[in-house]
Amino acid sequence: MNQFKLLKRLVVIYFKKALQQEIAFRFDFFVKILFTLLELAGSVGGILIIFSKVETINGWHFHETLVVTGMFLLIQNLKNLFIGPSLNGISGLDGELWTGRFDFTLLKPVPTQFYISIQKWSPLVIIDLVISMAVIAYALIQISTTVTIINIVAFIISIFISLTLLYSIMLALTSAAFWYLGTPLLWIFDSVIQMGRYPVKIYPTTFKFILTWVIPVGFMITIPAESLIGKVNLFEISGGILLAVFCYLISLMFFRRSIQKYSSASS
Amino acid sequence: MHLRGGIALIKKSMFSYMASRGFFWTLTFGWMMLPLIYMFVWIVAAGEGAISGFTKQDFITYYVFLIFINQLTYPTSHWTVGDQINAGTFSVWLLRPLPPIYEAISTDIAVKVVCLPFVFLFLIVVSLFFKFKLTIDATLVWLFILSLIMAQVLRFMVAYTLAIFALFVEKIHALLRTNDTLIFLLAGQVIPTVLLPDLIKGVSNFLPYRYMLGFPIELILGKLNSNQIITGLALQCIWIVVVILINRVIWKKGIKSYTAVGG
Repeated sequence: MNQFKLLKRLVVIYFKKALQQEIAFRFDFFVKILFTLLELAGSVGGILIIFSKVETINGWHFHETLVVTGMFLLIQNLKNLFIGPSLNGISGLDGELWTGRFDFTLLKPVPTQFYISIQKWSPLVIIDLVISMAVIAYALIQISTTVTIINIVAFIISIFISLTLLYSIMLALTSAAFWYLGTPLLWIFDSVIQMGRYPVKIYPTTFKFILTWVIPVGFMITIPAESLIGKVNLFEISGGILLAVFCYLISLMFFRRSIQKYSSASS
Repeated sequence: MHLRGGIALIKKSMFSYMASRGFFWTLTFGWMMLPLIYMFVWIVAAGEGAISGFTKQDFITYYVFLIFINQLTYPTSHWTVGDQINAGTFSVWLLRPLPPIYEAISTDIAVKVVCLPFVFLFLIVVSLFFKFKLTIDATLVWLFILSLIMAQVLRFMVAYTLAIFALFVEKIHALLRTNDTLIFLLAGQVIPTVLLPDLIKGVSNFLPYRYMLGFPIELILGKLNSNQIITGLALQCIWIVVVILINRVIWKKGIKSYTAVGG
């Protein structure tokens, strides 16, 4: 229990520190808003253009696809809030592995894995989170399905699955950086998750299978969106829980193995 | 002549980039992903029919070309030029007996050469997988090469011109990102520009973005009539001249207000 309190306090401290840093540059705030609007224009503009040509893509209407796009933005932004920046600070360009500062991280009297996952925050991403939720809400109102309790429960579970998978994959890629120093492996994740911009259910069976079970962008984005619309089934949810637990354990083992490989760096 | 120095600079950048291939290949993978996704989506959307004259096969050909040409024309240097100016390392470029634009050009060529093997490998896999077919009109090839070179020059010059805005203002990433979003929507990445909704199509026909990417591809696929080809090539020329003129003006004003930062 003491351990837990310590961790909670660390999260608060690091969040506050990041917030103070960001508030210091007021102009950055407006640039950030502009970037948010650009990202939104790109994503929503992209599907608007497609649906100006076709009514449905394999049974998916505009507003249903918009829920998926909103979910894509939501998951991306949840990642950008702290998991992304923190892990990037370890394995990215000029990250701790590269400079050798990871020595100090290992020496800190807190669980290493936890520390490297929460050490950097981007508080302004909260704006993006609100906007992506607004996109989802707007699309849901347009579809005018009643969101039942069951949908919400399914949604919460699938968001958990989604974030666990996301974290596991990013942790595994960070661990891989111990072996392949100097390659920004997390960028691969950013590229591959783009596959989730559209519902994976529109693709032919083979791709659908690969994108759900092998590269699980389906579980990360499409299935949380579907659970809100009420299209999800029990099989997928329970399969997702198993997959998430499996991936987390694998990446945890890999991370522990990789830390032992670390041999510092110096100039 | 600056040419000899320029070539030396290109060689230097190329060898130093070759050493970190892994880095550039990861980068390239990201650039190729988005067009690939749009290819998937359009293949599914077209199904067995056609969307305004574009069949499934047309979309495959279009996007295979797009991935390749996007890679050829994408200017990487505009990000680095802006950063160099902000960091003050730009002063080193100014001291060289070469115009700084050579530095940008050499970075660009070097990145492209380093990424090329990976791009080809990727495209071969995609083409085999999707049964890429192509019938080309021989006369169009020369026009295609011409428009491709102009597209390359135009896209580079626009990016470079935006990048040297950093001489006046500190935050130019906003400008560069706006540029990238407009390219994404209007240059033919989301959809071939000939298929855009009428109103946006009218706008995109006059903006430079289509002529950086989509136009050469539409040309080689034979989707344009001779009238459209001539207008397109003319607009490409006009935009190149306009951008170069703007570039000169900004450069002259900017270089006077440049004060190096850093230690």
